[in-house]
Amino acid sequence: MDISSILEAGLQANNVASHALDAVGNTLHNLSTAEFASDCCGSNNYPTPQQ
Amino acid sequence: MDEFFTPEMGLAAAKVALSDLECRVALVLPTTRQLNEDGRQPQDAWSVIGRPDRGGTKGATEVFSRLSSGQTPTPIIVHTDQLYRPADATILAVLENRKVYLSPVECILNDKYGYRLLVWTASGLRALAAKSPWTDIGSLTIEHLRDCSLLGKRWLERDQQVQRTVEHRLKSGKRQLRYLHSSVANAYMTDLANPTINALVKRIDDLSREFEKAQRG
Repeated sequence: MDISSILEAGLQANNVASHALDAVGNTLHNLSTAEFASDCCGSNNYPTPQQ
Repeated sequence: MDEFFTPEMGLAAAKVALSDLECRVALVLPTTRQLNEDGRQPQDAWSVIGRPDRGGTKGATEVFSRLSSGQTPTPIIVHTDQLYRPADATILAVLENRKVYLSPVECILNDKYGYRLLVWTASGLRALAAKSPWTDIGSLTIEHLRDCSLLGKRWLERDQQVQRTVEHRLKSGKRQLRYLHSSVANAYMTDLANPTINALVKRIDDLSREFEKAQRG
């Protein structure tokens, strides 16, 4: 395999990894938002998001 | 500013110079508002490589996939100034007084896909034939980026270029590792003795030490 193809494969792998990291980041963000909402509502100190 | 060769002049000159039959040409241009907003980029006929989150551009891998699949090649505009992130700029160029990361996109287009390069500089468009030496491509890319800085505030990617430096990547990497360490410790607070979690935390610590060593060295 020539060096151009190796570098191209590297860019493709980075691209896939970036998308995967974005997906993980979004999931973590959604989870922490959900957890925050749950904590707030469970404490009865704060209104639920719907109120 | 007016007396030197502007990016807009570069695009106009390239459009005049190219014959209709010459499809395998990659024009390396900086990102300026004038080029983006004046509609001077012939985006329907040319592919534009840059960061996909900047409007009207495609990722390099998308363009490479099209070329590999045998679709008719089109002339390409490469905004190499947008390709500074670790995922995009993967070649470390060692200069006299510093090291910077460059994107391999121009080299791949030139070497693998037989594209002639036309690179904007403040003194005019510079051409490199297909299969040029990589050192020539790297040197011209450095000259291009250096001349981009002469555009001042007109250069929209000016403030992002620091991300090409080794120092910035080490600092950024250490920050991300600290964040990862905190996240893992927080998520597994009651389970840190678990061998899997323990090994993960140790690996993060080892990586942090390697980053610190690299920063010192």
